[in-house]
Amino acid sequence: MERRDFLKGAAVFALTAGIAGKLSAAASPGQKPTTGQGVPDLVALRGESPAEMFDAGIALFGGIKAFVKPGQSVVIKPNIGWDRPPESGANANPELVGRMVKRCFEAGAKEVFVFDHTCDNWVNSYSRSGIKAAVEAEGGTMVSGAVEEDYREIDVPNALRMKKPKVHRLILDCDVFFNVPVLKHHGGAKLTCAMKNFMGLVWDRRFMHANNLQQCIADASLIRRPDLNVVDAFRVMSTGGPRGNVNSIVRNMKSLLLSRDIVAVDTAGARLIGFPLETVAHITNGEKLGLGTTKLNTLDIRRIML
Amino acid sequence: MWKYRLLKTLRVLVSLLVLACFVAGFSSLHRFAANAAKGEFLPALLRMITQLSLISALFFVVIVAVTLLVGRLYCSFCCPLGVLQDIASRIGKLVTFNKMKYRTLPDFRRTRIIMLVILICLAVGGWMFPLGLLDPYSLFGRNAAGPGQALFTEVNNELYGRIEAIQPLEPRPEFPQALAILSGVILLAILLAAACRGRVFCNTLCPVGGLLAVLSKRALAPLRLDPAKCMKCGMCVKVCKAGCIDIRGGKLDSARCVGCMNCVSVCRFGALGFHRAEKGKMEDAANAELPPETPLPDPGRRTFLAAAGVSGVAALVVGRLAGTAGKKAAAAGGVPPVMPPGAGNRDDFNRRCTGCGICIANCTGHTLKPAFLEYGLAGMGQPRLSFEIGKCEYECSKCSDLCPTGALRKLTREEKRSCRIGQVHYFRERCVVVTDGTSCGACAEHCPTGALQMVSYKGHLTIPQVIADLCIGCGCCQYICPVMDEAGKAVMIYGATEQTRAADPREVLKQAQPVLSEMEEFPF
Repeated sequence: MERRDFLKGAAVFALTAGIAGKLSAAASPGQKPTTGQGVPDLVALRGESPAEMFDAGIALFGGIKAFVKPGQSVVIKPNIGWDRPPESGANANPELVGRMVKRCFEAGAKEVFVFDHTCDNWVNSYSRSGIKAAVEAEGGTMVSGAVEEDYREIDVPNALRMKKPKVHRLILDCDVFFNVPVLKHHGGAKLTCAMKNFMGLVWDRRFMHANNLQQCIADASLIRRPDLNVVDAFRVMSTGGPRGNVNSIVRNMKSLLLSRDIVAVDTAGARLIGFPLETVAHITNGEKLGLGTTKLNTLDIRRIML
Repeated sequence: MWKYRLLKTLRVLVSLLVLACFVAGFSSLHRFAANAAKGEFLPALLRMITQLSLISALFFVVIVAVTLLVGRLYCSFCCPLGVLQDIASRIGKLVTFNKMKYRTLPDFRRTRIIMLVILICLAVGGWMFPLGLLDPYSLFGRNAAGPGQALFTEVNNELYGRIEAIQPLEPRPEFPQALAILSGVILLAILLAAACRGRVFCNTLCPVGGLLAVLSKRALAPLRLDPAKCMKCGMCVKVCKAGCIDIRGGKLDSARCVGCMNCVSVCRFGALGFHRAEKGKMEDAANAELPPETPLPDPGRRTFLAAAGVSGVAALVVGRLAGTAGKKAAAAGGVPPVMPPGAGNRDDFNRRCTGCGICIANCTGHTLKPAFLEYGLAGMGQPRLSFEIGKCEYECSKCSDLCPTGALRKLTREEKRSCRIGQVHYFRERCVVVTDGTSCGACAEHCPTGALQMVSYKGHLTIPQVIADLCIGCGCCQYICPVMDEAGKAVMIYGATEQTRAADPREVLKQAQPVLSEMEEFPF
């Protein structure tokens, strides 16, 4: 059985690598051709299934085993802010999160926790988003982010505005941290992507809104560098975000972005949704704090169409 | 005798099941259990009247019919406060090592009836608070939803992290202290009395007990004492929680008997049982009220009737005054209170809600809390929305689903989403975008209907704009608004006195859906 799985995995890897090579060769002028060697800075995928895209994307980073070692505890932090169904694009894609949980266990993870400090009632948000079902089907554990007892105050000396946030214990205690935001429009911060997703690690949301939101989002991103940012851009709410309403436009972008560089992945997200970078101040604030780069043309980017 | 022992065991089991339902329902462990409240006497009566509910009518008819048939079994089988009292009695017995401690109590018939008249007239006059305060279910509920749930949350969160299966519970808004103390003290007094002397409350102040007593006095086959068989050993008296057996007079007062069946299960002579009155064979004259045909002179009767009449009229007037007192003052000063969805008209709501707190205990958004004087005197203890630690969840209609008295009409999810319970007011001068010149948008971020839209302000900054037609007053915006101004937040919800339907966002925000071409390549 294991052998079969291995062969399958190897086949998928070979196939995707092959396709990636072909596609990159055929990439349109103006787009930097991918090198296909070493670990990329950013992987952008397009396909029909978020789970398949994740498998193909993580393969380019050396597979899940490059991140998760046997016996480690893993935290996957999707955006589960709202009591809204998957098709609304308000929360991270459940299929994607479920697949990530599965792969973590395959790599030998001891436990996989999934949580968010939700905006709507947490029990309802976890279930309506479909994430609870997807995670528990793969054996992962949903943890509440709703009570203050679970948050500990830490020092973030480099932060400019939020120097002493209270952060969820799981983020402080886990071995591996995957940041899994959903790309969408945001009324206040303009864009919700990888950095904005850090608001769900922090207890006092209102403090952030009251103390220069765009700086506080960048400050929050200093809490802990994610081992990988996996941006769900499958269904992208491009107006009326972050909660969305009946009139919100949800675009089927069918994309997935993976990067270790949180600023780069947010810059790519802003490009994808079509917001000029200068309107999303927290991204440039993050660059100033040394969290990453907005200069995508300096990076090794792989673009893959599945 | 064994049959009655079995019946008594059945009574204990049923009553514990009822209590379990209420504990589960009020600790929001099991929300369906909270529906048990709809089967309680006063809620069923109110809901039958206010919502013309057939199910409630059925509950009501069943309770009345059973009482007319065999007496007030309801008080021992179904009343949550009754079960609590029985538990208190049990504890009392354990503490004093005295299993047989009760004695015959005086008949407080007149107290009971005058109390009943006053409470009903106050409620009819427009002041529900006193009736709600003493209604056994509502009194139980208020204590369960307030201190009970606070304790439950505390214990649960203490265990969270130590026991894997336990999920944390979020804290709820605090109860107004005066109210919590008032209902807590009344409950403790009742339980103390129960521990010492049994069901004292049920036969003096309890409005439901008072009403059922009137019916069960005329019951067809209630528990009766057969003086011919009675050996006057006094066993039954010592276990009778209602203190309604007079062996010297050879009668059991079926008006006060709560049907606990303690007496029948200890009587060794078969002198007690459910019997129809049989003329001649059983001395029943003493048991019945004054037979209407015999003009037996009762010197106190006229005075009593006059007293009942006068206090009834006085209560009507007081109720009327109290029902309107403080309403204008409350409306004039500050922000009008927000009623839960389904309340409809404020006056109707204030007249119908007994303040049992089951909506408060089950509020998904942790938003409901009892009003103190926000609605005026009339609405004391009734739920209002407070946005300090929560908001009215858009997809939730639990309060209107569960309301047992019909003070909240049951709304469909669709109706709930457009039920306007209040209206947002935006105070630009307090908004952080204006005062600090930084991004915020928390209000628009949380708004589920699109009633708050971020529009261009200065540079890339955006500022909220209200589309009043779309606002349902759920308070998501007020809850999350970070402004800590003394005058209030930058967005505030003003409660509606008449709940209406908000406009459909699909109509108001009709915008040309742009045709999005499939993206061919990544824009980077």
